Parts: sequence; structure tokens; C-alpha cells
Amino acid sequence: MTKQGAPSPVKKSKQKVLIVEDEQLLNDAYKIVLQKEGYTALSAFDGQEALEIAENEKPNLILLDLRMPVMSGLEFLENFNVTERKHQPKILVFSNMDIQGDIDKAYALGATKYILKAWASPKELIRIVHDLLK
Amino acid sequence: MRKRTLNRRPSVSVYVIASLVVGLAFLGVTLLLWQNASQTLQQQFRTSAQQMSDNSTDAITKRLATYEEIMRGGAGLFKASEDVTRHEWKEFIDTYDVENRYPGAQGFGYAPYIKPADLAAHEAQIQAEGLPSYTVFPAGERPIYTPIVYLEPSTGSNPKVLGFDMSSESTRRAALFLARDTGQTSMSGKVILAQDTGQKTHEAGFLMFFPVYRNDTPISTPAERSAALMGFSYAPFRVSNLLNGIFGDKNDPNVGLKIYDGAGRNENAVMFESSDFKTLDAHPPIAITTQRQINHHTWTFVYAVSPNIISARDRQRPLATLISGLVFTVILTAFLFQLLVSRARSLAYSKQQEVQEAKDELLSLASHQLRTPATGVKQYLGMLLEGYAGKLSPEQNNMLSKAYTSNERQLEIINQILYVARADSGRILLHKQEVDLNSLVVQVINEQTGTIKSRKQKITCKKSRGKLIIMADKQYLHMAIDNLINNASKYTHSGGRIIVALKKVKGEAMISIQDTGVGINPQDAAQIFEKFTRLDNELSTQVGGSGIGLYLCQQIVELHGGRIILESKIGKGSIFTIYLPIE
Repeated sequence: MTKQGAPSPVKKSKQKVLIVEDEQLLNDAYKIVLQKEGYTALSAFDGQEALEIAENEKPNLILLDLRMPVMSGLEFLENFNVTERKHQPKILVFSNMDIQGDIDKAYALGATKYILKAWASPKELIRIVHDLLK
Repeated sequence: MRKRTLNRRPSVSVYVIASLVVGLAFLGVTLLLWQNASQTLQQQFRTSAQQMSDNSTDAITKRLATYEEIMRGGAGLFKASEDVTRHEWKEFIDTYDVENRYPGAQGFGYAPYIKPADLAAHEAQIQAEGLPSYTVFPAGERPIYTPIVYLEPSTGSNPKVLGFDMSSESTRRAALFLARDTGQTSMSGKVILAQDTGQKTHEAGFLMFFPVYRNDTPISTPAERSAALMGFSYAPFRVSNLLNGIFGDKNDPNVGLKIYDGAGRNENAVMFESSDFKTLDAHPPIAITTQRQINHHTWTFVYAVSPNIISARDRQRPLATLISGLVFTVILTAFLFQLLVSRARSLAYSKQQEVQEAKDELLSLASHQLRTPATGVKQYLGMLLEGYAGKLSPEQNNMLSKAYTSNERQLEIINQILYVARADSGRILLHKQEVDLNSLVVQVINEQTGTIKSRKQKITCKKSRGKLIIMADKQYLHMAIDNLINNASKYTHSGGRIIVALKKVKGEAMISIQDTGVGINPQDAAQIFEKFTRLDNELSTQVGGSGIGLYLCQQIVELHGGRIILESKIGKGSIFTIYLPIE
């Protein structure tokens, strides 16, 4: 499908990734990339929406921005309470905010990994998602 | 427009005043305690002095009462047998062993009551008893005579007073008549004893009389008593001897005593004055005056008492209270001042922290806002380059790659500006953890291998022998090393060589990045670590740079307590060496 060889589409089609990103442009970009790579990509534009979708769809991975209207990424983590769940999706905090205190807090609330959004090209994003969902 | 009030730190004087207010309150409490202790001491002193003087006065009156009993015994002897011989009287008095058991009385005697008509017969009778020179004196006619006929012990000057008519002298007469008329013991006023007549020193004395009445005669009225009177049992006293007899050597140097005859302090009627009375009375912390009625006669006792009757420990208590209170107050005030200042400092510090954190957040927010659009560009260019929208022609690929690189530079500059702003405001907070420098360097090299290979350069890493682990902020240290290796590659011609070496040197971790690049002029070496400095060289136009990297490098290394050293030769290459302490 892409120039880089990837795991079998059958396995990947079962993997759901929830993109939580208020910036429409970026949300769309991640969706395109993830879908092209064979993932089922779902979109939410704030923490509140993400909570509902995560509850219903049970994604395997949540790509979580921190700074969002209505409900921020940290508030989402507080409400979602991933560590107490039976179904525990991986949470990739993907933000252009790099306040160390917020990053620490996100980890404390159950985030799996933090990446500065500006550093990840589509290729790098896919590599990280693959790694997390291995 | 609304004015913002600034939270200014109060000046030191505020803390001084606050501490002083509390200090003054404690000083007040201390003074109250001191005053209270002083009053208690005064009270204790007064009570002790009163008790002491009462005891002393009681001892004197008790002793006089004892003498009175002996006198009454003498009177009883005459009651039993009207004819008491000199020998019998001596025997009687000797049984009391007065000199040893009741020292203080000069003696105990008997004086008959003689009418003028019987005087000659009386003298003849006594002379016949073995006292041939006996006469009643002083000579002269008087309505009655009360000559001393017996006085025991008959030692010292006592024998010379035999025959002395006591009623010849008014003070004695008054006391004699009082005893006669009342039937009770009487006491004379101040007299000079007949024994002391003709002596150089005239010591104050007094006498006590007890009447002896004839048996079987009515004595209900003064007239009957006067008619029935036979004589007097009597005792003469020198006051100094009396007191010496009572108190002996137990003379308390802290208590002075002065006794006046009669009520009040008549200096002509001083009966006694202890040797230290004047000294003690000159600074009388307390003087106690007591009047006592003894045998129908008044004596005034004046005691001058020194505070030393209270134990030194008790006397020093108020002062000790004051001193310890003052010391406590001073310590407390100083402690409070310290506490206030340090509390204020910590408040000011946390306020500063808050301001800094707010600044930091603002910086992060600004960089977030700048990064987001560039991130959009990066994503879409990346998608094109990675073929998500179909295969690109080489020309398209080339152009998009340039756009991508340019966007990357923009992102890097945003990032660096953020770090510079943080470094400038001292807001680079290190999150130290154990960092394996060998692995960190290998990681950085791996990340840059692609770029280095594209420049046809060779990079080698000489790891340290053992593990090289230090406490450091991994992210920042990564940034610094990344920057130095990136620079080495950027300013080295194609085909050049980069050597990264790690070593443990005298308790420090050393990381050196050596290149075979263009090198740096020695005079430029100093400014190379300054912000926004870019040196011109043959490669500077080909490679991008913001002039921030080395500044940040140095900031990061110095924050870790380390240093960065540059050695370079134009045309030969440069060596940047980082030294970091191993904690």
C-alpha cells in the first residue's frame, strides 16, 4: 500500500486509533495517514467528545493532544482513568506543549508516551504507532 | 484604567517592629512576674521579721514570768513562817540555781516594810544577826522604809546594797506602792541599780516586786493590803544581763533590738540597745515596733531586721526571675524576627516561583501557537513526500524536500528561541536522572547518521572503558550533544571525519567532539558561545543556523555544573570538550 512494507492489513484493520486533536487540519492529516496505513481512524475534537467515542468504540490507541477547548487532554486523562479500566488503550500524548510539569502529570495519569508533535513527520508517527500497537 | 497593586515585600523594619511588639509584651510579662516575686519576697520578709520579733519578745516576757514565779515562791516562804532567817532565804534561793538555770537576774531579795517608829529596832535586829555595820540608807526621816535585808546570791556588789531603802527613790517607790496596793507583781521604770552606784558605766536596770502580807489579815482592799503589808519579795535586773541570760550567744546579726521603757520611743528611757541595732536601723528594710504590758508596766520593743534573715536563694528569686525573663524575651524576640524574615523570604520566593511559572507557561503557549501551523505544513509536505498522494516526479520531490527542510528549520528556530527565553529567565529546570552517557551519545549519533552519510562524512565513537553514568537532565543533555555533533558535521567538508570520545577524567565525565572541519579563528572563540552569533566561513552560507545552538549548549552544560572548552585551528578542525561532574 505504501512504499514502506507494513504488517498484514487484516491484523491492522482490527486496530482502532482515536485521534483527539482540535486542529482540523492536523486531525485530517493524521486520519489520512493512519487510514492509508490500514488503521481504523476515529476523530474527536476535544476531550469531552473523546470520552464518549472512547467509551463506545474502545480504541486500541488514543492519539491525545493536550491543549484543546471544552476539555483539555489532561482533564480527559483524569476522567478517562485508564489505569482502572478493563480495556486499557495505549495513550500517545501528542502535543506541541512541552511544559515538563504537564508531561509528568500526563504520565502519572496513565499516558504511555509523549511526543512533541512538531518533531514527528508522518513516517515517524506511523513508526511510533506501530511500535505501540505491536 | 485599573491599576494593579504590586505585592511588595515588606521592609525589614516591619519585622523588627512586629518582633519588638511581641518582645515588649513578653517584657511586660517579665516585669509583672518580677514585681510579683518582689512583693512575695517582701511579704515573706515581713512575715519572717514579725515572727522573729514576736518570738524574741515572747522569750523575754516568758523569762520575766519565770522570775516572777521565783519571787512568788519567796513570798510563800514568808507566808509559811513569818520569821525567815538569812540562812533560810539563801537556802531557798540556792535551790533554784539561778546563776546557771535562769541567768539574767542579779539576785532575789527581801525588803521588809518598816514604819519610822520601828526603824531603830530593825537596825539593831539585823546588826545582831551578824551584820554589825548594817544601817538603813540613805539617812533621813521618811514615812516608811523598805530596806533590803536579804539578797541572794550574796556575791559581787550585792552585799553592799543591804540596808538600801528602796522607797527612798521615787521610781522604785511607785512600783513598791503599786505592788502593795494591787497585791500583784509590779515592775519599776528604768533605774540605775544600787549595786551600780559609783560605777563608771551606768547600765539600765529595773526591779520587780511582789508583796508579802501578814497571815490571817484581810487583804481585799488597797487599805487592808496596805495595813497587812509585811514586806516585798523582789528582784533587781540589769537589762543587758537579762537579755544575755535569755539569748546568750544566739545573737542574730540580722536582727537589732532596742527596748524603751514606757510607750513610744523616748531616747531618755532606753533600756537596751543591741550592738548592731544602729547599723541595721540606719538602713531599715523593715523596723517592727511592739509594745508589751509586763506586770502593769509598758515596754516598747523596736526590732531592726535585715533582709538577710531570708535565705540568699529566696532573696535572689526576683532578680533571677527578671534576668531569666529578660534572656527569654531577647531570645524569643530574636527567634521571632528570624522566623518572620525567613517566612517572608519563603513567601517572596514562592511568589517569584509563581511569576516564573506563569512566564514559563506563556512562553510554552507562544511556542505552541507558533509550532502548530508549522506542524500542519510538516504533516502535509511529509505526506506528499512519503507518497500518500501518489508518486512524485524527481523535480517535485526536490522542491518539496526543500520546502520540508525550510519548515524544519523554522520549527528548530521556534524551539531554540523558546529555550533561549527559558535560559535567559533562569527557567531551565533540570529533571535529573541517571544517564548513561555512552548510550546517550550513541543514540544521538544514530539519529544523525543519515545526515552525516549524505555529506559523505565518517563518524566514529570511542566509548569510555567502563560505564559513564551521571545525574543529568537527559532531554537537555541530548540537545547539547546533538547540537555539537550537528555543528561538527555542518562545518566539515564532504568526506571529512568526526570523532566522538568519552572518558572518565579525575571525577569528571568528558565528552569530546572532534572534526576535521573549517575550524574557528582563536579571536572568535570567545564570542562563539554568545547568543545569535554566526561566524563567517566557507560553509556558513551553505548550512543554516540561528546562532543559538552553542549558547544553549553552554547554558545546559553550566547548569549541570560542568564546562565546555573549545580548541581549534583554522583549516584543521575543532574539538569541543564537555566536562560534567560525576556526582
